[in-house]
Amino acid sequence: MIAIFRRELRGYFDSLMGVGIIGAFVVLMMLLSLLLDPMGQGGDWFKRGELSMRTFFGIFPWVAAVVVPAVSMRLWAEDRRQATFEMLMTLPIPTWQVALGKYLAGLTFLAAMLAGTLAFPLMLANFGQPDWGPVFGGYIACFLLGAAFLAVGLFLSGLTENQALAFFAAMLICLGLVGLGEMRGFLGELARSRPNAAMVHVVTVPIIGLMLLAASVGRDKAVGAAAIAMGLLVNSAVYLWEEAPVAADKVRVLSPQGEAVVAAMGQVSVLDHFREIERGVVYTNGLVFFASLVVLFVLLNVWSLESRRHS
Amino acid sequence: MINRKRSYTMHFLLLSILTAVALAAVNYLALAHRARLDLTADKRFTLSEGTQRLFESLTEGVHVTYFVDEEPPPKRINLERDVRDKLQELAVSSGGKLTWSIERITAAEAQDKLEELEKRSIQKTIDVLTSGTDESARMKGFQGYFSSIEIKYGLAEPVVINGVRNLVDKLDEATEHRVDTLEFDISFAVLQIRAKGGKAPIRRLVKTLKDDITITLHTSEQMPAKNPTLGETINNALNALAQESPRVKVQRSIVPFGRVLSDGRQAWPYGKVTEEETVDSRDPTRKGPKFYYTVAAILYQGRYDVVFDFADETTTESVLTKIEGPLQELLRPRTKLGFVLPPGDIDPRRQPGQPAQTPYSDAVEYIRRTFGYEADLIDLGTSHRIPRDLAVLIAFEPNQYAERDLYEIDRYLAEGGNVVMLYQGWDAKLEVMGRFRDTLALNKNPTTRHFEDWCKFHGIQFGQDALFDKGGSMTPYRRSRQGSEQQPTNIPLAVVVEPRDLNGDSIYGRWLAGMPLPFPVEIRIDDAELAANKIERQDVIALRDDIYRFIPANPAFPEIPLRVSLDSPAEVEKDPEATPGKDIRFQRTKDPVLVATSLRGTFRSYWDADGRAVPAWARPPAAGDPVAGQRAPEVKSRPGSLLLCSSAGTLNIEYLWGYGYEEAVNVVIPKGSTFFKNMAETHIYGEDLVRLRVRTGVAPRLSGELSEGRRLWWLFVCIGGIPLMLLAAGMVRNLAQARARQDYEAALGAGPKE
Repeated sequence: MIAIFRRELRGYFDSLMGVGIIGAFVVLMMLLSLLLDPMGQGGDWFKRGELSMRTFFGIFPWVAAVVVPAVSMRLWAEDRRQATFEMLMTLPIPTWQVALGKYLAGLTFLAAMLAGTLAFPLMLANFGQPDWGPVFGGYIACFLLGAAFLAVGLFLSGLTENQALAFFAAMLICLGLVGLGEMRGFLGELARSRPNAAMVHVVTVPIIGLMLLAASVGRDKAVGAAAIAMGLLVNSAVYLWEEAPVAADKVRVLSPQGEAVVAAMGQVSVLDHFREIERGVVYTNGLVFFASLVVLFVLLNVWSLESRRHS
Repeated sequence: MINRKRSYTMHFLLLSILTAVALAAVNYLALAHRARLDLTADKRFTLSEGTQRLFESLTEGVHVTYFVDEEPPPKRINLERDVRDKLQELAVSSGGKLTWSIERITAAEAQDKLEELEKRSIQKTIDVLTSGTDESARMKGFQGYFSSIEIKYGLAEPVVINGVRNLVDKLDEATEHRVDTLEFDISFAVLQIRAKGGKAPIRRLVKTLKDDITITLHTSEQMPAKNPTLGETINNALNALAQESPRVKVQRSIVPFGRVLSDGRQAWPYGKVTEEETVDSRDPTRKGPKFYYTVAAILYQGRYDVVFDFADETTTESVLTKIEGPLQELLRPRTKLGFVLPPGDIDPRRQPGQPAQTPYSDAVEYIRRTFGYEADLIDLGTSHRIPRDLAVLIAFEPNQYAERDLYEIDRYLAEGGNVVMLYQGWDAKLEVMGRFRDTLALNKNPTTRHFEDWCKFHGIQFGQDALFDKGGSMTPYRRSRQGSEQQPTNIPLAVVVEPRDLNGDSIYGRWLAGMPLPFPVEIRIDDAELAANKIERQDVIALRDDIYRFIPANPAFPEIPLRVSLDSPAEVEKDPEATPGKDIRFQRTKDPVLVATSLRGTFRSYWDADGRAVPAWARPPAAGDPVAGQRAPEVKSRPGSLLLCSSAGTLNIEYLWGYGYEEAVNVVIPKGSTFFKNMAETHIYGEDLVRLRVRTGVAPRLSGELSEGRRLWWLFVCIGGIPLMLLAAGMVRNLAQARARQDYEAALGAGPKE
């Protein structure tokens, strides 16, 4: 596993791509958080005068959803392209060790990317006495979120030899995970106005997602088509079955199932857990949540590779 | 082939669903047994012990509604976000006891909802717009926007806090209600609502009256057409109340039909101008003008209140409900403050029988009028005793009191009293006009030996040197001579309490930011002495940054030019440890310098210790007084509190006179009076309030000068530093690889390639 780890890590830094990714990430993050005002907080960082990295951590999920897939896209797809994949699969080591070695290399690269932004806290220290708790928490949150996105990217990289396809697929899923958190207010209102429909979405969407993944792993078009058809049918039909939404002024009337859905969405929202840790409050369930995402996608990656190994 | 694919797909799907379910179960368990770690330095996201205790003791939920402008001023772009974040934190930390919602008010709605908002006491927050934030800033105008919170607890009347601001610049730090004080504001409001909860109904309340209450009903003959018997309904309701208690006296005054001035104004100020038709209440066919009166003036023990506009009341019970609130307020037991003033009289024209006029008399009057407290001027020379029903005793310039006066205060404190002592080491005369224009004359105030001994006994020592704040300036806005433009007015060199000087955890330090504290001296506390007497100390104000002590060149009349430069090396010694030379008039002090502190515990009586004798009165003793010269009778000590401040100048109208009554009484004194308000409230609400944390932390702000060069340098380091380092590292590595390749090829004998 260590040999795989070293090989992958060297792969990042031997090429210009690794250095380019770190450089682009640092420049992008710093420009957005120091000079521009993407979150509309009233001017650039110096003008706001707040001795914190709030904007930096605020935009990180969106930037990570684009940059981390670029890190992970080569993890398996590169081996497939260079035809070293078969060699790896025939090595007398378990598949999970190969996958873990690659994942840890990606994680180390992610840590290097974050280390590239340490000039920001250095500047904070130069401008006064910042509260280091939220800064530390923010970096932990970034690392955990990046680790989760990396696991998603690792899994998708294992499904295709096309790096661009791996990148776009991973980026879409990561952006979806972040966007889900941003849309929580809208989804919460939906859960309150149409609780049954929201409940159906919450239960069926992950199952259909897993079915689509399984179909792409097994290259089973019929299952994929069935998943899409079933998803469309169930999630549309529920609106016919569900009663018309209550009047606007009664939208806030809470139903138990609506509240349950809202609470559940809070627990599965990547962004909510990220923001909690980023502001300096670490909940153990937040840590477990990110660890679960990592475990789920690394396991999916291992099983998908094993299915290929035996096919 | 298809079967094999399907088998893999199903196998994978099964495994992934099982894993997802297992991980969901793990997450559920983690949520059920979650732990929390607040990494912030001041535990910003954790409720203080006091708030937690309060929320645990609540039997019902608290609901907070935040009323916010949909389009706040550009400076407040993040206001809603900041308040929302804070409310969410509180909701999460309260374990479900607190819920919140937001009501956004658009400009269009604000007009429609004006009446409703007024009824709910929601008012606009007004920001003063200036051309800058330093003392040379000029006021450019005002900007209003909605930012208020309404706190509901149970079925009681909600409490509204207007003017909730977020911290954007230095000016905001001195405002009363901010995002970082919301935890305290909400908790305190709940305490207030809970304290009001046990009110007796109005009919029972009037049966307990000790004095007569007079309710005068003023109504016009004309009444709204839709409710022509309104006047009679109100009258019947008041008479019903009078039936409950002979103490209730009802009078009625009827303003003649159609009384209106020629310019259209109504003849009496509380009449209601209405768009609806009015009719003569005696003859509903006769139409009246579009205004009418329904005003009840209530007078009790010299206090009065006016209730007007009964338009919506149609029954006697609803009328009684309408006047219940003001009546409760008038009849509630008053918080009583006692004031002991320094000897002397500044009014040479005082008539016999009138109380002596001291520099603090205006402040006392202000406190009485504004806070609704009863204010008792205690002349110990006459009364010989401090009433024991006082909430707080405030002693101005105790360093000048006679020994017997101090004896009485000592006994009061030892018996569990709450005392605020405002020491005044220096008497200041600020000349802004006349021959000594723009000078400050300081004279050392005498400190009696017995006061020094008394302080020493309690482990307290007052320094000798007056303290100056280099950047100190109080800035009440004053109209300029040239025109209507207002400009800040400085009180030079006076210490002004800044947020950084205040103990944010202390209730006593609440709302003191921006308070001028002219020429305090340092307070030194002997902690060993306090520990021996089990007295808890909580510092309230400790001055930081650029505080200078004054070394008088001529102690008899040390005039200081107001524009003195504290940068002049000839006059100022910057090293706090150095021995000042003979020409040095100012020396920088080693900060922080303590100028206000709160001591709580059971104070021993100074006169009980070592069996000291009772001091003599200046006048003959009253019956029952301890005999002078004999050993003081032993006091049964109880827990009390002593708030010490080493400057009374903020309430000294004589010192502030040069600035005009308007600035002094309306701007400066309200700040200084906050000391007593804080103290009185801790007396009213007890330990629940004392334990609340006043301010939760906020992200620190940039300090130091932000020059363009410094800004560009850090931009370069942050944006370009790492990429350039990586580029350099890459180039070095490529060079090294090229060199290694050359060496390798040379070793093979092939020679370097061109």
